[in-house]
Amino acid sequence: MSRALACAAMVLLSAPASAETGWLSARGRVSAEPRAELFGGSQSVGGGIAVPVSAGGPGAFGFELAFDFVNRFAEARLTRAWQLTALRFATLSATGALNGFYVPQGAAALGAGAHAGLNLALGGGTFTVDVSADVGAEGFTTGPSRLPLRLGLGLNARIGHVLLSAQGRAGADVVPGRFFAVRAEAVLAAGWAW
Amino acid sequence: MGRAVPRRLRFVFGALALVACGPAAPTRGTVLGDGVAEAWFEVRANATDLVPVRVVFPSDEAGVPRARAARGLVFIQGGLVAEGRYVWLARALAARGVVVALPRHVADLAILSAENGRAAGGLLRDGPGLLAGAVHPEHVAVAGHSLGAVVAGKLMLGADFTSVSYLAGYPEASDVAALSAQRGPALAIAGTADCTAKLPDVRGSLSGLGPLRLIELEGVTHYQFTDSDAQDVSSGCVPGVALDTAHRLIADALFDFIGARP
Repeated sequence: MSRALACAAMVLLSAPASAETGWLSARGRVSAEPRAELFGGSQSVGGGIAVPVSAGGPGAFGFELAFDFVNRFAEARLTRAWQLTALRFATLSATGALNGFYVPQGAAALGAGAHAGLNLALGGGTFTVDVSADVGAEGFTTGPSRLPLRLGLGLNARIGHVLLSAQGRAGADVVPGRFFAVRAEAVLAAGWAW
Repeated sequence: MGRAVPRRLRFVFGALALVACGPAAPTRGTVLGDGVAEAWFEVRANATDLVPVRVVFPSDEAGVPRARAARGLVFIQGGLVAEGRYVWLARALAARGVVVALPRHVADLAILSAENGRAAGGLLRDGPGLLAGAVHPEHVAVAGHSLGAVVAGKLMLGADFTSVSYLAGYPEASDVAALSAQRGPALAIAGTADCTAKLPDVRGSLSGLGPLRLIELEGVTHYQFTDSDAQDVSSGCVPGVALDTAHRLIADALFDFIGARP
């Protein structure tokens, strides 16, 4: 059992990231206030903002920029979150996202994709445990399309205006007609809510 | 003061470009001896993944490739066996004129990032730096050891490689029909003393695969395909031949096959 866990941890720590939806939007409890966050993790650094669709409304728009310093490419993510249930102990949201890639090295590539996800938050306004599932489709100017599939787990805390979170995601990119590639990433994030 | 801001901006953009663009492709390698050198490249797989690839090639004393339009081989590592443990084989083949690429894989499990092998094949065909023109683009084969043999079979199905070699392993059962239909040249090298990919299993798994040449090496064990057979010995799997002998037999069999391909 411990050997299997060690093997799984090794795979997750050494797998490349990328091909993912936003970090800020992968939460079941959609913030009613504007917020900004910076995040950094095992593969990438970046930051983003999320603003409610309307003051105190049941959804939010978000924008993130991330740089994958291991694989050296940049990614922009535009997200929309919908609060599906009222804010209770178990709170559900749905997300849609568009992402764009710029891959500079070698044959420079541009990529674009679309994602959809479901996020469940367990907890209250101060602390939540979030689980999420995300599927997407992405295409690049230099290669075949890929279908990212992800499961995520996050711990999110809010202390006054300060936001803190630890999140991880793992899954695979399915490349139709070819293979799959495992993916994993963990990030720590800190932010501010107005 | 008015000129200071653009300089800062130039520095910032310069630093970003350095980070984003990465190292240039090497134009010469590190000499390993016996007319062989190695160099590291980075290649993109799955559009965004940077894959380190070790390339071992015939060279002069300065590490400059001697090969022009040579045969190329992408070698896929066995499961949880570092790609560096096959450098002995790459060196033996490069000493005979073959350019060998050893791509790294996630957690040393090629099955988790099989596309890396295809990207390494592209590197040999269209490589920058010292690889420019070194390999004939229509003479790139693929080989794999153990679990790497499964991946080698899958890569062969992509029609990017001219032949496939299974070392102490065999393709996935679900790929056998398609590989047979493809009728690409195939070689299998098996050790009669292999305790992991046992000879009857290898024979059985390859029985439906054709055309295929199976070479059975007397006394050779599973890990003698790597740089050490200590793992065999510690598990009670006693080799019937010395490691050096096994290496010579394996390299000869693989080169005879790759070298004979048109």
